[in-house]
Amino acid sequence: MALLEVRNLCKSFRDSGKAVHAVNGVSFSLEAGTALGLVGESGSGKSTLARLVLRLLEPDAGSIRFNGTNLLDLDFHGMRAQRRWLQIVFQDPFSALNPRMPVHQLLSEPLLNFGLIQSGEARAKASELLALVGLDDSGLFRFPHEFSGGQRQRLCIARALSLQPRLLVLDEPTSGLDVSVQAQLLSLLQRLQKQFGLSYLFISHDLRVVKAVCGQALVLKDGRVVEAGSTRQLFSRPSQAYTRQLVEASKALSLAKF
Amino acid sequence: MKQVPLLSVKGLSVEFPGLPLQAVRRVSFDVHENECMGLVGESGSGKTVTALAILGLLDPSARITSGEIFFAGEDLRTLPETRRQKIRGHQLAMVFQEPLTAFNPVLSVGEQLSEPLLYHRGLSPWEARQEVLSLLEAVHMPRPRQVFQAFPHQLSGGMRQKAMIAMALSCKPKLLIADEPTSALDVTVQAEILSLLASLRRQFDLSVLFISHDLGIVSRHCSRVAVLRQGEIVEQGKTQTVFSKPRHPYTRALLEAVLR
Repeated sequence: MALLEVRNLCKSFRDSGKAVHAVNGVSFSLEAGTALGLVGESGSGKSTLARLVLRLLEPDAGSIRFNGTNLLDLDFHGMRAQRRWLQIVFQDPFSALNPRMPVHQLLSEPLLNFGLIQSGEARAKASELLALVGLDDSGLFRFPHEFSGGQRQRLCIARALSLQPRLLVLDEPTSGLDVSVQAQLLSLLQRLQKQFGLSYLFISHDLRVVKAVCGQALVLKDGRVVEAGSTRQLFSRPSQAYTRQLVEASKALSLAKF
Repeated sequence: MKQVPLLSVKGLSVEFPGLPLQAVRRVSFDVHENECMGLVGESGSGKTVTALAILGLLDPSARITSGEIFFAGEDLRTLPETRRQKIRGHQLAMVFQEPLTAFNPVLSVGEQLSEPLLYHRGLSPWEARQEVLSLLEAVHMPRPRQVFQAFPHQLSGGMRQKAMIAMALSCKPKLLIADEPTSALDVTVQAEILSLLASLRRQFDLSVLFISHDLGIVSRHCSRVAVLRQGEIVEQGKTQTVFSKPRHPYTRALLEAVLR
């Protein structure tokens, strides 16, 4: 059974009276322990889809089966219990971290919130989480603004992993970062996936980034899936014009062969 | 025979008060006519500080402790401010990374693009409007007339970057400093803007100082490259040579980080 099974998901917004179908009948399934990529340009509906999966937005229609349960059938309390297993890392680590909280508090808050640890254990737990993402204890009492963009994204990943979720949704986690920092983060994500048998729903506009982490991917355009398959195949033999366009663009940005 | 470079930076050092290290240390490089020169390095390596020093737009607290910046034979550092402003408007232009913060949010795109034409080229408002429209066409802006009336927040990221390039070109500069012009954009839009820049370079006989952390892009658009690390140039030369036989371990590390 798939860990996540999304069927015919729809969401539209109103823009000055006109309906915009941000997500328009999207279906996919994600097997436990695998990484699925969602690729598309700005406005293709990727981030809306991510938020729908976590019920940060309410879908208009469709179903989201997570581990056999349709999340849309759950009430507030039922959903809250599931959130432990579903976590998200946002694109902008600057706005995702409370600027007034020191790191040890940021990292232990989810665990305390779910009553999984006692407050006395919080510091030790936070230090464990820092080590997990390659940061050391010297950061425990510092505030988010004292960290670089890449380090902040590591903090977001550590916080998301604190609850030992089964599914991690990553919404453009490396887009605001330097290429070299991006490469380090991608290898961190690969390592964590192996270490914990995590499942990823990985969103990016860059097929190269998705290929580095995901075996399978969906290509999204105007709220619909235009092509799906293994990332290798999408990259080497895209069948749709739109996918080809994405591949061509990323090739034009890759290292020239001298 | 070696031609005189259009821009020549010699031994430039910049420091900020209270910081122990200089942001830029003894940096030297040239940009020749009709050349695209790459300045690469990570965040904090001193790329942007170098660019701002060339333009004379450094924060007032910053201090240039040594070095010369020759542009078309004149040392920009010793010129009076009025002459410098003329050069900055007419011959030197800059494209910034984040077009949304580079524009004034309460003026229409048309008004902002007209400004340098009124100020530096002394055109009448009507002439300026015609010129802006033709510039918008030159950068392949969709629906130029509507964009002229629009405010920056109404444009997409790619359209804003095109508008900024149009503004930079408006006084027919000789040198364009492009500071991470595509870093904030989707891959497809990045590819489009980069190929636009390449064709404008030929069309307008532009020289470009191209600042980027992405060696993939630099490998395709710059003929020469300088690699900055913590304010110092660790390696420079022809892009092909530097990238195919990097001598410095830092260059090698940056090359390995490029996605394939």
